[in-house]
Amino acid sequence: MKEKKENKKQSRRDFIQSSARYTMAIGIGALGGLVYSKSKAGEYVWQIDPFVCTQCGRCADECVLAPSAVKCFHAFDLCGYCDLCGGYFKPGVMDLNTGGENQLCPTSAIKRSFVEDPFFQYTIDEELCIGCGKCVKGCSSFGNGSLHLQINHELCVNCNQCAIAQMCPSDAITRVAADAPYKIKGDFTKPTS
Amino acid sequence: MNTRIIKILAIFSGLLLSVITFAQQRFPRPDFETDYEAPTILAPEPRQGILEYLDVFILFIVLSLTTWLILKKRSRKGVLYVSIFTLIYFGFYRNGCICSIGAIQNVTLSLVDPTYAISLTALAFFMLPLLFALFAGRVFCGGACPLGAIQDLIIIKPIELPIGIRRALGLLPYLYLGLAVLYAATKTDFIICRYDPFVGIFRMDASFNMLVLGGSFLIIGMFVGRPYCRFLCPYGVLLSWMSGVSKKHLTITPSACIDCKLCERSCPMDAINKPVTDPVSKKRDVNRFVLSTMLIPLWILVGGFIVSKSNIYLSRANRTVNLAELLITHPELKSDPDHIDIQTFLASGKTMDTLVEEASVIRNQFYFGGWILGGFLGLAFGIIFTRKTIYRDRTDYEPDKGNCVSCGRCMDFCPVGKEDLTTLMNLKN
Amino acid sequence: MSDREKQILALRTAYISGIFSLIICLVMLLNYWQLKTVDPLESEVLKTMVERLQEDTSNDALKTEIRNLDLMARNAYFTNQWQIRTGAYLLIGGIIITVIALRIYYSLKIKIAEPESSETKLDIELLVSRRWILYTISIIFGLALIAAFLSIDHLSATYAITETTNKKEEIPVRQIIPKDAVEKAVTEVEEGKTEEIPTVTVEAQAEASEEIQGSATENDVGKEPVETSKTAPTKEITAADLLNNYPSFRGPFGLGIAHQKNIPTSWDGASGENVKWKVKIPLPGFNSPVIWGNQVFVTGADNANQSIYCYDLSSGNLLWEHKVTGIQRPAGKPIKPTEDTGYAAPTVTTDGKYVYAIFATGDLSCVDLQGNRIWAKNMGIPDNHYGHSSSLLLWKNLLFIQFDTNAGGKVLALDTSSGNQVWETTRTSKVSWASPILANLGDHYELVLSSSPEVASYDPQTGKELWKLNCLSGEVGPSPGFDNGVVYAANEYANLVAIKPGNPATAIWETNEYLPEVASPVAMDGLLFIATSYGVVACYDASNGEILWEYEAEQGFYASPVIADGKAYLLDMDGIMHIFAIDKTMKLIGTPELGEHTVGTPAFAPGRILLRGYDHLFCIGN
Repeated sequence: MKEKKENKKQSRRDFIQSSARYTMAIGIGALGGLVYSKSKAGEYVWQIDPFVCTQCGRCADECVLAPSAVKCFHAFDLCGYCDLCGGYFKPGVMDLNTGGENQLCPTSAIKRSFVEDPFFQYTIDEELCIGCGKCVKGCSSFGNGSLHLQINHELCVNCNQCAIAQMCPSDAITRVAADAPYKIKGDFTKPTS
Repeated sequence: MNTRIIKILAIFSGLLLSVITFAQQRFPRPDFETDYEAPTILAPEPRQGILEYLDVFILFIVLSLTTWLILKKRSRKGVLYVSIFTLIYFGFYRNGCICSIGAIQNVTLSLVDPTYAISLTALAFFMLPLLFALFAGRVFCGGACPLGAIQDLIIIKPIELPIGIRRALGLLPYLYLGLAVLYAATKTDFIICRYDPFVGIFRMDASFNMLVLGGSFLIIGMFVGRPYCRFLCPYGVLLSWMSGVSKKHLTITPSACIDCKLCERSCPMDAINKPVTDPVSKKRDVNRFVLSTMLIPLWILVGGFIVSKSNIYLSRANRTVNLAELLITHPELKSDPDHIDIQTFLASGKTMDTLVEEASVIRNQFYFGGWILGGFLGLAFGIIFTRKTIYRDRTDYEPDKGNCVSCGRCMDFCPVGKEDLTTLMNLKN
Repeated sequence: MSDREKQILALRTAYISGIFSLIICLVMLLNYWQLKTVDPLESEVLKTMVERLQEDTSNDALKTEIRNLDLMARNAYFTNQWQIRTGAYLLIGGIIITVIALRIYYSLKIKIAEPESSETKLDIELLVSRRWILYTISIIFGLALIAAFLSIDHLSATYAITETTNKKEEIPVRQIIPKDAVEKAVTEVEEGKTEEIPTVTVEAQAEASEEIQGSATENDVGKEPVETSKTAPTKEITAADLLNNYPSFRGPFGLGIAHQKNIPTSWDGASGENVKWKVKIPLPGFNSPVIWGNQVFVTGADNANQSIYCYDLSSGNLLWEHKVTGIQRPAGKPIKPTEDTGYAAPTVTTDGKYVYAIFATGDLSCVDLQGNRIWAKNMGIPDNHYGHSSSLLLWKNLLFIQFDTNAGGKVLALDTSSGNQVWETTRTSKVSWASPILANLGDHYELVLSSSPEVASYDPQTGKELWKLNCLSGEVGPSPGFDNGVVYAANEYANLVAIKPGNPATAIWETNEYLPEVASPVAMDGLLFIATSYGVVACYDASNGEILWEYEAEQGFYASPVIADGKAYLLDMDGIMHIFAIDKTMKLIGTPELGEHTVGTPAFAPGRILLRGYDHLFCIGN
C-alpha cells in the first residue's frame, strides 16, 4: 500500500519534472529562436572611429592589455610631409631635429626620415607605440590629421565589452563587422553631411 | 621657433578638433620629385570567423564528452582531464572570452536593442550548456567552463561551510543575475565581464584590482570549493533551473545506494543530499508551506517596489546619468580643463537639456527594470524559502540536482560496482 | 618510490614553489607600487627641463641631459613591461606547481576516514536555512531601501541653467571725462602709473541698437539718463582723411604704408629714452593700435570680458573704456582661442566718426569717439581653431569683414552707421587669419583677401568677385600687400606670389625662398619686404622676385613691416625694431629696443610711433 503510494508520488513527481523539463526546453527554444532572428552570422570586433575620437589619452590607460592594443596608424595618402610636423614635434620646438627634447611621443615611436626638401616622412614603430594619442592630437590640430588611433586586431583580445569603449568620452569605439575591421582614414572618409 | 603652437597640450578641450569632421587638407600632399613611395599601412586581420565556429564545435564536443564521462563512463579522472583541456583552451588560449556566463548579457542586449545583432557564436555559447543541462545536468560546470575548471583544479583542502552561510550566499547569484540583466538591458555595462575574477588571470593582463580579486578567489578556492560557481555565478542560476528538471543526472552510485556513507564528505561543494532518516523530522508542516506560498506575490510586490525605488542609485552607474548629475551638482567643473568627459560634452554642442532628457529616459528604464528585478528577487526568495518549508523523502545519497556541478568526485568514493577497491581505500576524505 | 617518500617530495616541492610564487608576487607588488608613484612616461622632471630649455635655447648641456633622461624613461617603461610579463609567467608557473604538489600531497596523505554519523536533524537544518535566507533577503532589500532614500534625484529637480545666456541687454558703462580735462597736458608717465583724471560713470538708458539722441555735457552728469548727441560729421570719408591718419591694421587701406613724417629712429623702452608715455592696457590682446587725430584705439579681451580702450595720443591717459557686452550670441560651442591668438586679435578700424571692433567671440561693436555704443551685433561664433584674427577695414560707408572659418568663408560689408548688412559674398576659401586690403587700381578700388587656396578680389560696393587666383596653401596668416598695381601674397610653406589683377588675374612671378608665417608683405618703390617668423628679413625686387638682400635677426617677426618716412620698420617679437632704408642694398638704420615682447604691428602718427607690447602701450617720440 505504502509502496503504491510511493510509486504514485514518484510518478507524479516525475510527471511534474518532465513537464517542467519540456516547458523549459520550449522556453529556451523560443528564446533562442527570438534571439536568432536578431542575430547575424559574422563576428564583431571593436574599432575606433577616427573622426569622432577626441584623443583624450584613455586608449592607452583603459585597455585591459598593457601596452594597449590601440596603436597609431598613419594614413600616408593624407600626410602633408611637413617639415614641422604637428604630431612629431612638441609645441614651441626650437630646432627641427630628432632630439629627445623636441619629440612629442613619450616612447619615441615616430620615426622621422628625410625624403626631399622640404618634406619628411613620419612612420610609426608599432612596437613602441602605446596608443596615447598625443601625436594624433597634434596632427589633427595643426596638420592634416593623417595620424589616427586604431585598434590593432592582432593584439586586441576582442572582449565582450571593450573597456576603452566604456570610458571613451565621445563614444568613438563601436562594434564593427569582423570583415571590415578597420576605419583607416584615406580609404575611410567620413561622409560629408 | 614656431611659437604658434605654444602650449598645445594645455588645451584639453575637444573643441579644436571639430575641424576633423571636415577632413581638411591644410597641407596638401606634396608631388614628390624623387620616386618616393609611401610605405603601406599594415592592418592585421582579426581572428578568422571560421575559428569562432570551431570554438562552438569544440564546446559541443567537450559538453558531449563530459556527459558521456559522467553518465556512462562514470570517470572522475576523465572529467579532470577534460577540465584541464577546457582551462587551457577556453581559459588561457581563448582568454576566457567569450564565455557562456557573459553571453547572458549579449542575449539580453539583443532583446532590447534593435541595433545590436548578436553573433551566432554568442548565442550558441548561451544555448548549448542550457540544453545539455536539461538532459544531463550541469555538465557544463563540470567540464566545459574555464572558470569552473580553474576553481576546481585549485581545490586543495576544502572545508564544509555551515548550512546557514551556504543558503545565505546562495541567494547572491540571483541578485547578480538580475543586476547583470538590468545593466545589460539599459546598455550601461556588462558587469559580469567587468567583475569576472578569472579573466585577468587567463589573459595574464589585468588591472591591479582585478588581479587582487582573482587572486583572492583562487586563495579562497583552495579551501572553499568553487566559491564563484556556488555563490556568484549568474549562469549557474539558469543551469540550476535546467538541471533541476533534467532527464538524467549524475548519480553517486551506478545502481542502488547501499547507504555506506563513504561519499558523505566527498563533495567539496557540499552538494550531496543525505538520506532523511530521522522519523521525528518527518513531521510536515503543511500550513507553513501554504502560508509561504501565498506570501510569494507579496514578496514580488515588495521586492519590485523597493528595487524600483532605488533606481536613482542604480542608474548612477550609467555614464549618461552620471555625467548629467555631475554637471547639475557641480557646475563649476565646466571650467575645469582636466575633466575629459565634461569638456568633451561641452565641445560636442549637445545641450544640457538633451543630456538631462536622455538621463531621465535611462532612469525611467531603471525604474521599470527595478520593478522587474525586484519582482524577480522576491519571487526567487519566495520559492527558495518555500522549498525549505517542505522536504522530500530520501533514502539514498544523491547529488542535489540543482547545485551539483557534475565534477564527479563523489563517484570515486562509491564502492558499489567497483571491483578494485584499492583506489577507493587510498582516497582522501 | 613509496607513498611516504612521494608525500615528502610533494610537500617539499609545494613549499619551494609556494615560497617562490610568494616572492615573485611580492616583487611584482613592489614593482606595481613603484610604477604608481612614478610613471616613467609622465615625468614631471622632464617637463620642467624642457620648459627651461625653451627659455634658454642654446644650452647644449641641458639638451644632452634631457635626451639622456628621456631615453632612460623610455627604457624604464619598456623594461617594466617586460618585467611584469615575465613575472606573470613565473608566478603562474609557480602557482601551478604548488597546487599540483599540494594536491598530490593531500591525495596521498590519509586514507578514507570513518564516516561521522553527523545526524543533523532535518527540521533544524530547514529552520536554519529559512532563517538565513530571510536574513539575506532582508539585508539585500534593506540596502536597496537605504540607497533609495538617500539618493537625491538631481535630474527631475528643476535645475538652474548656469550658462550665461544674457537675456536682457546690459548697459555699457562709460566714463565721461570733462572736455577741458582732456586738454590738460601731462608730462612723461612713470612706469606703470597713469595720472588719474577725475572720471564720472553714468548709466545710459537700456536701448536696442539705435542711435541715441540728445547731448551730453558736464552739466548733465549725475542727473537722469544721459543721451549722446549725433556729433558725427555727415560728410563722406575721403582717401585723404584715411591717409592722414592710421585708421586700421597696417595703416590706411591696410597696405602697410604710413604717410606721417618725422618718425623717430631711436629709443630705448627700458630706460624710457624717447618714450613719450607708456600705459598698461588692462586686458590683453594682440591687436595693433589704431590712431585717428589725437586718439589711439586698442582692444583687449579675455574669456569673460571684452573692451575697447581709447587713449590720448599726447598724454597716454585713458580717455574711455567701452565694455562690449550684452550682445546676443547664437547657441553654439564656446570658443577657445589658443593663447597665441587670444580673444582680441583683430585690430579695430575707424573712419573718424565711429570706431569698429570685432572679437574672437564674433561680437562686433560700433562706438563713437566718446565711447558710446552706436550699434553692436554678433557675426556668428567663428569656427576657428586658433581664434578669429581678421581685422576690420572700411571705405566710405562700408565696413568690410573677412569671415573665413572652418565651416565656410565669406566676406561681407555692413553699413557703418547702422550695422545692417549691405552685401555678403560666399567664399570658397578655407579658414584664414589674414585681413583684407583695399587696392587702388587707378579707376576703381578692389577689396583683396588672402586665404588658402586662393587670393580673391571683390568689388567693395557690391561684393561681386572680380578675380581669384589659386596660389596659396596651408594656414594663411599674412595679409596681401599692394603697390603699383600689383598684389603680393605670401604664406609659409606655400609661396610668395606677385599677382596682376584682372579678369583673369595672372601670377607675374613666384618664389618660395623666404616666406612669412604671420607678417604681411609690404611693397614700395619696386621693393618688397618680407619678415619671417624665424628672424629673416628679405628684400625682393618687386618686379621679378629676385632677392636683393637678406638680414637675419635673433628673433622672429610677427608684426607686419610698415614703411613710414622713407624707412621700413620691422618689429620682431622681442620688441626690437629693425629700421632699414628703402634701398636696393641693405642699410640698417637702427635697432632700438622696446624691452617688452611685441606682436602687434606699429602704428604711426606725426613724429610718433605707437607700439603695443604684451602688457603696455608705448608712445615713442618726444
